[in-house]
Amino acid sequence: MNPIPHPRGSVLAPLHQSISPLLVQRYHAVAGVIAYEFRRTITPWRIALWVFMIAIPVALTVTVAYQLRGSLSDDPNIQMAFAWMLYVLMPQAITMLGMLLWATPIVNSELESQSWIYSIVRPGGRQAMLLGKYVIAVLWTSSCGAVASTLAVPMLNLAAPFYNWLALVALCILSSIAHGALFAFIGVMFQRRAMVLAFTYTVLVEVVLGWIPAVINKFTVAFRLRSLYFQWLELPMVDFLENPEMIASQTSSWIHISCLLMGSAVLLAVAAWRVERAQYRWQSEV
Amino acid sequence: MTTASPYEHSPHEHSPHKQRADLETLDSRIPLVELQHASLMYGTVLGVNDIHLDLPRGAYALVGPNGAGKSTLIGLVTGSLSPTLGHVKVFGKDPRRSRQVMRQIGLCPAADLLVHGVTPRQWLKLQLQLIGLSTKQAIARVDETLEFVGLAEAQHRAINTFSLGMRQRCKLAQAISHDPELLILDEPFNGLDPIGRHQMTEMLIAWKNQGKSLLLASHVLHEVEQITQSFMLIFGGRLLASGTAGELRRLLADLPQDIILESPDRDRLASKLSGQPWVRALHRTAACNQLIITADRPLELYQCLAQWSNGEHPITIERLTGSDGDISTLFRLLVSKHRGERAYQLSGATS
Repeated sequence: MNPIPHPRGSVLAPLHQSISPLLVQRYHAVAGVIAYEFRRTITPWRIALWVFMIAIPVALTVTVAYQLRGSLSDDPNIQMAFAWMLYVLMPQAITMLGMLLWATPIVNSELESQSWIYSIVRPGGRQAMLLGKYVIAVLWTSSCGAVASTLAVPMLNLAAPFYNWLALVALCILSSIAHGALFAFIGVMFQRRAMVLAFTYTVLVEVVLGWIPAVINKFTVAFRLRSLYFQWLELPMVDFLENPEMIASQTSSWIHISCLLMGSAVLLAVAAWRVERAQYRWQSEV
Repeated sequence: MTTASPYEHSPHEHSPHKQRADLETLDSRIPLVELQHASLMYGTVLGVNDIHLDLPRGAYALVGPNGAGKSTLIGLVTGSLSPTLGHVKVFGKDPRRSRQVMRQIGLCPAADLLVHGVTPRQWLKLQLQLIGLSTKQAIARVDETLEFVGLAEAQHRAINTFSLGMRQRCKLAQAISHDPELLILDEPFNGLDPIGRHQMTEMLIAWKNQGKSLLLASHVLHEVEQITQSFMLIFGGRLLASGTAGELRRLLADLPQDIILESPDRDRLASKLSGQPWVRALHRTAACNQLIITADRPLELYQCLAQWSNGEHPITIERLTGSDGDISTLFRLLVSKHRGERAYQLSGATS
């Protein structure tokens, strides 16, 4: 095939490219999306948001530490309160909010910028976009939680600060993976009002239902994360409930981790299946 | 000229020995695009309606007014939409399922590119990696493609700071960067200045002359006429007709249409015309010296006008505006014909 001449004199040579195995092609596609999306996160606005999301829990922690400075902080109840405050701020609030912002609009942001059409005419482009954007959302959010934990833990006079920090960072990563898969799934399934649906789900299921002492809460991300936190920090179980297992299970940590990872994998697989077949509406379609 | 019938266009010569290795299984005898009674519904709205089409390889222009269904038809061909009824095949395969076919399609959509904070270099690299190219291969190809479309100097500027014409070139770059066999462009001349239009036209002619296939959607007939003589007319989601530009003009001339005349001898002209059997209506407008003629057989009108303007008492004609080039009129006429209507009521024609 001869090169295509252009009126300005430049030519576009034919593409001599050997065809890689399918898995290698998919790897290149996902790696391409990750690199592209990573560069897009390095903008003043997104960096400012990242800093803001770290600053909020750190500022709250500093305020609490300042108010409770002195001998009070050695009290076991206060230690327990510190541990719960860090848990609620980091793996719960920060990562949940971060993933809500980044994972839910995976498809919708592409539709709004009218760039979805370019991905869907590429072989495997839809799934590569989904997975690549999901990975970046997990990295962005878990790094937020990890940095916030790193800054907040030393502010409090905790008995085992390193162990606390390690548990928080691990939970931030797990929380990002699980909530990311959940919100990406919602974003893929519902083109319209995905953010509203994801927020409603979070409030009703993860926040309200997740704390109800019933079997149903075992299906929430919050229950698994809370159980892991209880186990890793060896926190005393609440004694005012008839069955404290309903709030935090003493089952092996690996069971909880497996539930979170397998649940995320299933949600992502369904989202990938759906995104490959979905026909989203965009502006110039009709 | 055919109406809503299989295309009679002879395909471009497509030498198998020139095809790349990954194309070997795409037999050149296999039609470029096959639509078998394809319909697509958007809820209760009909996007395309029972299109049956068999296109050999070559260059085609899909012409129709805005909202005719061109982009929807392109969506079906690219596999971004699946038909509610019927089947679509490109290079003999379902474009939604075949990776091989998807690799051979380059699409330049009509929608503007609104990505923020991204350079054309980054964006193009992503598009090539989505095809399956490694980072190294993609970077090498990005340089060539940006040079080709004339964006090499602006490669480090954000796309959102580009002019409409530059964004259009950016879209074209991603469509051709992976060297597809079929290039599909939806309104490619939008936003281009005259020089840009000329360059785009020349580039597409060069593309066609390479033996590659082209599907070009436009609502302006004369823009695409230089590139190909094979047209498909679409309106209301239906494929109304297909043929060459000459056939289109002949069809237009054979159909009733409005002709606007400006003449200082308007009354004399009206008197002469009123006796002609092929004149359906005459309308004197408020505008000075203007007469709108609704003629069943426009060719006979033109012949008479030529005689009267050269006769013993010549009639002066200052201006004559026909329907040629007015795509909306053409489509209204074709729709009327398609419905089998005898009377063709055109806009603004009142007797």
